[in-house]
Amino acid sequence: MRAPRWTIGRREAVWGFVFISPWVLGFLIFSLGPMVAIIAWGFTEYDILQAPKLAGLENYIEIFTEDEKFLKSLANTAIYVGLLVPCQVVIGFLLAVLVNTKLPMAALFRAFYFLPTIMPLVVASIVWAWVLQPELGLLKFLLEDTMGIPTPRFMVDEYWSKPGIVILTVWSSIGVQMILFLAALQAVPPHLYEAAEIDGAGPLRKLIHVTIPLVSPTIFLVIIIGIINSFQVFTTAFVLTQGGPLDSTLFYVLYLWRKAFVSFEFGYASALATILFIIIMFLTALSFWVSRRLVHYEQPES
Amino acid sequence: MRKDSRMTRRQLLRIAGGVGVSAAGVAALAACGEAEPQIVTKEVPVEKIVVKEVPVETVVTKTEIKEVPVQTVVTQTEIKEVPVERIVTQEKVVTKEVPVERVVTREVVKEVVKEVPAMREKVKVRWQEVWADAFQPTIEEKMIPGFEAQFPYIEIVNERIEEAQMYEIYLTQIAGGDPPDVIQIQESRVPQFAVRGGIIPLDAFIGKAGLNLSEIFYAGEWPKGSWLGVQYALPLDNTGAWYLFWWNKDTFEEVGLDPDTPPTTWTELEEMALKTTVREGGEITRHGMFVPEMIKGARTDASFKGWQFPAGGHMFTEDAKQVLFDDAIGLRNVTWQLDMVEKLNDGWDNIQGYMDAVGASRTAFYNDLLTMRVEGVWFLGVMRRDAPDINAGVTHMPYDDTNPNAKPRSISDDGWSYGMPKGAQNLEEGWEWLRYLTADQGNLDFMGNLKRPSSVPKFNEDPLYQTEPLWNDLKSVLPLVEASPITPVNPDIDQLLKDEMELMMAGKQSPEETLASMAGQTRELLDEFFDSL
Repeated sequence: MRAPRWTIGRREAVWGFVFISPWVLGFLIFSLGPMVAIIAWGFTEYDILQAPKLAGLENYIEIFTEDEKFLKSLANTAIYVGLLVPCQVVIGFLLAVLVNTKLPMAALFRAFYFLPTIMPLVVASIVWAWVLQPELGLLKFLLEDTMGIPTPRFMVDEYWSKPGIVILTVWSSIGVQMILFLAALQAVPPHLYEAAEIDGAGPLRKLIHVTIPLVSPTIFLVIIIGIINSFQVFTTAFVLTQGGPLDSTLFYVLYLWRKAFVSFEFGYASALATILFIIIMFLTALSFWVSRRLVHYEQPES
Repeated sequence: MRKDSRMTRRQLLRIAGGVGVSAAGVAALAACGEAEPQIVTKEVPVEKIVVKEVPVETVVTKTEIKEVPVQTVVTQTEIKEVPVERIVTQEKVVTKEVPVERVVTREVVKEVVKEVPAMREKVKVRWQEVWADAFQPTIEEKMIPGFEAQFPYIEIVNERIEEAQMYEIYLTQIAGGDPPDVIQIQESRVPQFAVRGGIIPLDAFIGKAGLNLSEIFYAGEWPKGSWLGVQYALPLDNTGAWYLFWWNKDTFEEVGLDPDTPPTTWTELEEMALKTTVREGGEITRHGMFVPEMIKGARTDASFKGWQFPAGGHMFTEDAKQVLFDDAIGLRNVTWQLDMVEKLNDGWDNIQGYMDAVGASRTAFYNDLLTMRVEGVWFLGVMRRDAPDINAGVTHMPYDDTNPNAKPRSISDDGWSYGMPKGAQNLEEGWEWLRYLTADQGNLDFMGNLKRPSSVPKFNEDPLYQTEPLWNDLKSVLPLVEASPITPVNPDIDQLLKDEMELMMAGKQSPEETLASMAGQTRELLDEFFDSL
């Protein structure tokens, strides 16, 4: 008896699974597996060199009741995220608008703005350390020594250290946001602008009533990616400040790293990582909930 | 008609037969191949000439010495000294020399020898280190060929890793069961690995090789690679002298100071620092000295430890269980540092900008914006690379002349060493390479190339170093270095010392609060650790 032929839909589904299987396998082995392990280690006393010992909720109790640096690092990270993500959205969007115009050499500007993105963050951090250096830095030379304008003491003042790292991060990552916004801007149908112009809308009204609503899904995407990435800030603080001055740049992941690789408290660090995972999940869910009211999705024509 | 793609029974049997024959063929070929070379250990009779020497006979006559102190009688008007009964005794040492009796005999002894077959397959020793960047030619052209000529059956595989990630890499490899054979490790981290079984004890190898560590290495160096009396690592360099005093001779001359006479005490340091400081329009345009700035980066923990020894103090008891810095000397140390910041630099704000990760303090020193500073032995090579024309001098740290017990001395509680991680596959071969890197020619090749002192005193006499004008000055400081106990909680202690010192410098707490907090937290860490053993 002949086997029944597969329908086109089923065949496409099988091929679909075949094509995504490398990613699925990679996710299961390299992402989900470690995630499950980290959640489990959070309930143990573990130093990676010896077998873990079950510790119940001890790590979590210590984190929430005794660990001052946990709260300090969490607060530092929250402030950093609060400063960075709006900057990425606003500056990324404005740059995209700028390079989307029909200016001469617009393509060259796009390339220039994107260039820092391909520079390794460690290298960028060292370059910026010299630019922002409060005594011998380029910024001080240009502003204070040449023009007499007082320069903030980035990286050594506890109040200016986070803005310093935000400036560096915006510079090194803005190319990605710009490209995302540029793609969204170029997808806005020109007839909507024409209709707005016929209705007498100026450039600002067109921006507020046409452009922003239509790129709002991209704004949402940039915010979500920004939150997820910036909560995991590590390299810049590790290279530039090692958490100082006065723990003002002791970000959550830097603190977690210290616990794991300086103090060899992997169980504790795993508990910290689990808490960070829950925080990011919560903020992402919250963003999705808020986005239902603020993000405009074009309905496909039926 | 659709062709049936199913396999017939005959086809299946044919394929199975083919596979079987192939497997048998492969097995037969493998059996004909070169067998794994074996090290043969056997006892062979060896004729030895034994020379016996009878030592010089020394006869010492000791006499007890008694001293009666001077008696002073004080009356109302005058002080009279009553003649003292002085008993002068003599110690007579008589050395009697007896001619050496030299007896030469021939003995036949049985000696265990290892025979290495000429065709022995090479063993690959994986060596991970963090310094090779600039020294790759020395490693590839000198060290590895030199070693492999001695040990033709060993091949060294050099794997350079990033220093910032070294412990992540080591731990992951050990946990994953694929560690290298030899690793570069900071001595401050050795006990951390040792107490968890992450690094292999070397005592058996050291004993078998007949190495006497105290004869080979500086006294302040080799104990740092041990934990509870067991040796886990051997030192690579002499990083004991983390705290050396460097000064700009040209600036000294400019302000009328003798360029060859650096400050030796804290009082002299203050005077000379003030003399070399330049103020213009209320701002300091050249600093004499940043007392809490050491090494490079915001290492205020280092400034506490660094000045504690020349202040006449200690950090811990020898067994590392008790804190010793919580005393008057410790308080004098932190108070003096804070005073100096105010007097010499007009406050912490003027120093903080130089305490960064990119080495602004070094740049300031090279550019005559800073006259004196403290940094370790490595600064010689760094300075010659960055500012070869600078006319600088080097000496020991100035000591606290208000403490009669203080003297020029320096603490050593870190440095670089080599060890073998848990799970290393080639222990015998790895040990040979480790020994070559630390106690043998490889160490001289590497350290000499760096112009950085070796952990082996005799290597520091090598002509390789003699082209460096400051070499003898630097070398003379090395014996002043004392090893300070290291525990598995050392990295946590360093972090808390740094945090507390920074709080004090920023005016957030007093010196007394700082010292009490540092001592309290350190005690807590040590007690918790030793209780857990």
